[in-house]
Amino acid sequence: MTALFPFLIPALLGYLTLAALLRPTLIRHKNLFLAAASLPTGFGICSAILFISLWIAPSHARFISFVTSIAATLTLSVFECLWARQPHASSNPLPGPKILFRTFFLNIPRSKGAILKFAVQSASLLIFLAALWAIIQFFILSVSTNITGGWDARYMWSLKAKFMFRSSIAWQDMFSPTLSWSHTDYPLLWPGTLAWGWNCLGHESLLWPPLASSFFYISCALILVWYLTAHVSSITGWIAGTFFLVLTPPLFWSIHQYADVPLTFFITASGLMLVTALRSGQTRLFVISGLMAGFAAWTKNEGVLFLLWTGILLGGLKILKKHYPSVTLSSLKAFLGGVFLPLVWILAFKLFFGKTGDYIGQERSAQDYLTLVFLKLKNIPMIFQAFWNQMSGFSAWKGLWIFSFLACLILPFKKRANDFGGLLFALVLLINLGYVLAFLTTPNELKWHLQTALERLLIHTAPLALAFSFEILTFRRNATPQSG
Amino acid sequence: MENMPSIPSKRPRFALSWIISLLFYGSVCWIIAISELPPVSRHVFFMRNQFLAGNETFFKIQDPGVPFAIFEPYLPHRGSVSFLTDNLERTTAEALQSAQGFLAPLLLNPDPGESTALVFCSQNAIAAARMQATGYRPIKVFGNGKLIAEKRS
Repeated sequence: MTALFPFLIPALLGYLTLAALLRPTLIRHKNLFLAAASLPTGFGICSAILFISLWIAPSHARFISFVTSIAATLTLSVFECLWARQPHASSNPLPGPKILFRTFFLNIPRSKGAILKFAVQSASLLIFLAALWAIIQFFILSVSTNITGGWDARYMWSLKAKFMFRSSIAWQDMFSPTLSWSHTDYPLLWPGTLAWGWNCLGHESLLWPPLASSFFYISCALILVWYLTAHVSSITGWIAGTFFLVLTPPLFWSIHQYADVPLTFFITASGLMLVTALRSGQTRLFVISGLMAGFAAWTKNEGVLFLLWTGILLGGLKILKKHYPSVTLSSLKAFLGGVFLPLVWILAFKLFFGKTGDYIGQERSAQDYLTLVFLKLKNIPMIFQAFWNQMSGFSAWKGLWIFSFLACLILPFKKRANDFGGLLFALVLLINLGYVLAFLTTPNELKWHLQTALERLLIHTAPLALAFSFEILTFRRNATPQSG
Repeated sequence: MENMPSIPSKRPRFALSWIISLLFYGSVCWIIAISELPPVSRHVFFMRNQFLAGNETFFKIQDPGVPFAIFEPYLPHRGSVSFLTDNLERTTAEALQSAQGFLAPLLLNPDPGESTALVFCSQNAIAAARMQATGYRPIKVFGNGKLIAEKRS
């Protein structure tokens, strides 16, 4: 039970931050969104506070980071209590017990149709819970045999966390060229989360990393449930969540404690919230989408690529504003506002600490990369073959990518004005296109790189592809555009 | 005729979307129903019980850096030391990374340029040859090719 203590502050901090941002919005199923996103958001904030404390006041970093996190949580709690006392609060209740009460006790089904719907909803929820229970059991069994995780977990993420936890004076040695094999340029959300937990517990708990990893994995499933419940139906939401749970790669890499699962969560949360924001035109939702994109960039370098693509897509939609009136300048500003703070500490990290990596900071110039792309074009068939082999593997992906392809074929026949249904697929396509370019210019041996990285990279876009497939192939729409 | 209502033309489309939706839900439910988790051996349940009981000591043996615990009291807490092994590339990488994880924030340099070296060879003879080649002499010997050495002045 003591291993659960470090969850408390991040969960509260994440919840209060998101609740404050969501307060004036009419987003559907706020509780579900908060259940999915509170803890990862809290981990993102706490890891950033720890990094900044180590940077600015290394000798008292542990104490400062702890006190700052608690102070931020208490301040937000006070604001939340003050707001709840205001008379207009009841017209748009805060996420929490009030909405739960309404859902379970005031919406009792009375007609035959409603009772049948309620029964199917309950069955889909029970199937999800049963799958989740089985997955948690399997997760614990698996991590018990390999508690330190895979190579990246041991020698990259955990190693960085050890530097952050063991020595506030020598922590910057993790960026030494001697440790170039540990990818010194990778950002610190996941190591910061591990070090944060160890700071709370007072020792390097071996149980904390798998527990934190499992929560990111469950959050991935819940964020899908939220989006599809809000935009299609709760039955679709729970079935999609169950489908995600039966996919092998996200579970496998979560058991091995790789940072790809936290990255997957932030990419998914940002992408799904962006579509919600575009449909409803509510500015605050763009802020949340931006914040999640910022946390994605704070998790791994691939997150920076996602941030770039999202920015380009939003900018493109703004240029085509005639067709997309919900993409205003204020929505773009709101997205950038959400990205701003994470971007500040990411830039500080990249400028002062993690300067060199496999791609950026090497002696290669942009022109070298362009030349390399054209020189290595002959490798394209090999890369696409690897993508096809991976995506068509039923035992791992259970037909997910085939469903996405079918949904893409159906999309033109289902297009509605301002639906933005294709945006998710565009994100999936663009992110993977970026990975194709990364493979094309890889400094490693291509075959080895494909074998070791491709499945992990596909996880990043799998939930977005899943949400896209379920939304298009189920032919239903639950939410009105304005209600998010 | 030109002003015919468009409702009849929408019926086949509605039916098609209903069929696709049904086929999709059917496929997904079938996939969920046939999905199964890999089998696990019986002894894993004992380890799970240790995990659930929060018995961290039980899992310490799984840390690949444990063999380097003997060196820890004799090495500086931070700074940099050289790390010498049998000089086989694969072994060097694995041993170096495991040792680095255990001894961080002390930096382990695979190049023999530091004043102190951690020697982690499989035999005494190999350790002696490595020290001879790189200019180190032993200051603390643990046996079986494991020792701490310092650079000859």
